Amino acid sequence: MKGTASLLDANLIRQLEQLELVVRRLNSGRMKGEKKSKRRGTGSEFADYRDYAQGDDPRHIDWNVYGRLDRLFLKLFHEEEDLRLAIYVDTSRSMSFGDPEKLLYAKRLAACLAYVALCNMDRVAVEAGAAGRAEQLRPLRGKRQLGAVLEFLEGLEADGATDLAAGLKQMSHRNGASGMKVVISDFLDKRGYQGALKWLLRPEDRVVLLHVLSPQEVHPDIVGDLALEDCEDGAVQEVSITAGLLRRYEQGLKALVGGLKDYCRTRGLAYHFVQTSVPLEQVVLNALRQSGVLR
Amino acid sequence: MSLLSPLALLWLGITVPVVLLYFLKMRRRKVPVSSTWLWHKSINDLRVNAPFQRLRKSLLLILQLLLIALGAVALSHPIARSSPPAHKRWVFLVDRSVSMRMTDVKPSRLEKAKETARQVLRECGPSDEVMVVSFSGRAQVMTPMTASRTAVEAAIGRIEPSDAATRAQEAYHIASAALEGAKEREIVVFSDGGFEAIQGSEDVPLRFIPVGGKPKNAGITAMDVKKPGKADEPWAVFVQVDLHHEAEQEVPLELYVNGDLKGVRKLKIAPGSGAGTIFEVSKPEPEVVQAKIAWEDDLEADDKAWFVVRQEKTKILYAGSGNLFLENALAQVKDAEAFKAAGLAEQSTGDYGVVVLDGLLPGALPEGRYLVFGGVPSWEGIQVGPPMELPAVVDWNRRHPVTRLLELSEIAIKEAPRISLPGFATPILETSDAPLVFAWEKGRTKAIVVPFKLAESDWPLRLSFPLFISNAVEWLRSEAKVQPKPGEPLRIRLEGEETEVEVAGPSGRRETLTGEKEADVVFGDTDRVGLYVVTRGKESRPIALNLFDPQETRGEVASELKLGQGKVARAGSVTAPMTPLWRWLAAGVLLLLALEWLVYHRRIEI
Repeated sequence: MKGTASLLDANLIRQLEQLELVVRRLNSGRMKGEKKSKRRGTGSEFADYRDYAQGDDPRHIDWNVYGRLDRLFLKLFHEEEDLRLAIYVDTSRSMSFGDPEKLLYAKRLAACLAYVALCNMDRVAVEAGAAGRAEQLRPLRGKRQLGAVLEFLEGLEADGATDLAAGLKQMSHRNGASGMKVVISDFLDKRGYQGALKWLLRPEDRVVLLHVLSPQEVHPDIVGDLALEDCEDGAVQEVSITAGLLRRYEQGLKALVGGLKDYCRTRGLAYHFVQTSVPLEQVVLNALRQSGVLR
Repeated sequence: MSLLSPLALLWLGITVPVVLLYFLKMRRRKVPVSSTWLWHKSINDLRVNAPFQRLRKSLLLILQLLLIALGAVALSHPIARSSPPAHKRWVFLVDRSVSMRMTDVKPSRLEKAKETARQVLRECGPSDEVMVVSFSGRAQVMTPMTASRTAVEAAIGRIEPSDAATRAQEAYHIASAALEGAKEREIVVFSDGGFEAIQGSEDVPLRFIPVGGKPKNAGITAMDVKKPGKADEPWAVFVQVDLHHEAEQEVPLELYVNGDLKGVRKLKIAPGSGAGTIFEVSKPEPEVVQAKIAWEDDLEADDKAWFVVRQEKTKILYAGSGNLFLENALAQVKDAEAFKAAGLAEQSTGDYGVVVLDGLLPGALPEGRYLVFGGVPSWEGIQVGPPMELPAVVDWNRRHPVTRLLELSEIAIKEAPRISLPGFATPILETSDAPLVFAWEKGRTKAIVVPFKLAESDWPLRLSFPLFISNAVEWLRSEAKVQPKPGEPLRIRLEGEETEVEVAGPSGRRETLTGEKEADVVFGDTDRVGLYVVTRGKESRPIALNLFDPQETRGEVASELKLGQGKVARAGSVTAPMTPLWRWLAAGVLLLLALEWLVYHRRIEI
């Protein structure tokens, strides 16, 4: 499988196969899958009884109940449907920063989640973009599609300014069906995140924000009198970096993270702050499992 | 606070380029970041507290400006009075002795001492009074107590070096007398400290400022010329040279007889020790012998020494009833001619070098040299008691030149008067409870007194007697107790009918001294070593003034001053009462530098 080696390693793949995505609400997918659906139907998990009505499939009549009560009841099951996972990867130029690179980290995160979904016969759609451009991978299903997903992810390159609002709006429109929506971004959007995240605020969706920052952004190791150049819009900010300024910067970053966290908590979104220095396995296998995104 | 070199404040000018540099646009390094958004926000936060923050931003500049200011002030040598100015009396004792001529500190120790004295003068408060006393062999008040700085400066400038050895006691007495009753007072001694302990009180604060370094010096410390026993034998000239140097040295020594070079020796001398050598001179008969060290060292005054050979025979007058032993003994005395007179009155004693009185004692003896037998002159301080019967000689002064090496214990005497002596008379022969024979030295009178009658003792029969007579004449006719030294006044007696003598110093300066007949005239300008020629009428006689002082030749700089009875004045620094502030300022500069470094690095290392 092309690209597997760079984004996912064999060991991680083996462990990912044990996982599945968790959606707290019952899903309504289009195809039969492994997730319980709100719809009653032909799944294997019992849901309820109801009176037989003409036209119902006699195979679902519970003959044991009929024997006891002399009435026809139909056994209802949760229909098991597939989960629709939509992953949005921010590919603005700021994502190319950091060591390890944020975009690479984002791609690997996306690959992990996509692989978990594919393993569970869920549908995976991947969107990527920045201001003025958007790339998308049509929904894919089944483990065999992993190659296509990875190829798409591999091909992503960081360019352009961050425009979360446009990207998420598009994703929201394209993936109208409910499911899990994962946004992987550094959220360094000069226009703020509220305007963008409102597109994800649909009660039926399970939304996971993965906030990826490099250690260099969390604890900058730059000093002295510098001209900071914004890689996205080329804006230059002259600073004399002092301990005080660094403290303020870190406070600002904390405020951003805290704000996002609060925003997500009050609106039922899952938020994860991920530093690219933390090993991917630790994030996927521990953090995301602990917070109930994966199981 | 005052500044010793205010010109250094010009360094403050550096602040201008520093500020200019600071205001010049800083060339900032471009660093790409993922987003300037958070930085922008942080800077905006900072700007909220603008005035203080701007100050913080230029903290480095402020530190740098402060650093320059402190540095400039430190360079301008600020000094502050550590105690409030009080009306204080100072006495500067400036040593101008021969060791201060040493050039181990440039230009010379004395010049250095004068410079240091001026420095201390600058420390004095405006209402302080200063007295300057210079001292070598004698003390000289250069200026009485005065508040005028110019007078003190001029007095310090007037101090001239001398070739005399150091005697500090007199100067100390003058100083402590001048400071009597003053509340705030201090004596400051500028010297190399090469003198004996001062007898002084602890009440007067004394600061000793040592001057000098490590001298390299060779000096003649002794010289003697001996006449040969027989006419055809050579004269012997003994010269002692001391060396004070770090390494062994070959010191070339030249000998001049009557002005002509007669010999050169190279003396190999170990550091800190001396070497003696004997030159033999046969012809011509020496009159003036000069030894000279031909080696460049730090002190010139001890490189030359002179010896004037006394040629004439001493005339001895024997006045008495006649004693064969005594007359024979007198006739045996070398370089002397004995004359005999029955009584003293008919002879003028002035023509004789030594007068021997045997049993004759006129009421008042004129000044002179006397050897007295069988009586005690009625000099002040001598008391004569009842006679002692058969006094036994129990002791004699073995160090006195007259009785040295003599065996006198077995002399039998029939009777001798019991005498008691004043302090300055030296008993040279003693019984168990009273002096028997004594040496008397007062003013120009020198005498050896043997109070008992020679005829009533067996002494003339003994071997010690002619030796005693010879020694006594030798001692009596010797010029003075000690050789004249530079710095000490020369006393010259006007002889016969003369009323004036002319003295020419080594510098060539001549002075005519006048006085009454038979009076003493004093020539005081003896600050230099060398030959002083005394001219009486047609006859000229040189007198040699030599240093011959091993302590001055050593020229060692003392670290403390002995103040009698074990008390010690430690070496003080020049700047005790005025505290120099530059050290504090320099410490401040260092501190600021460290602070600046810290501030700078707090921006850099997180």
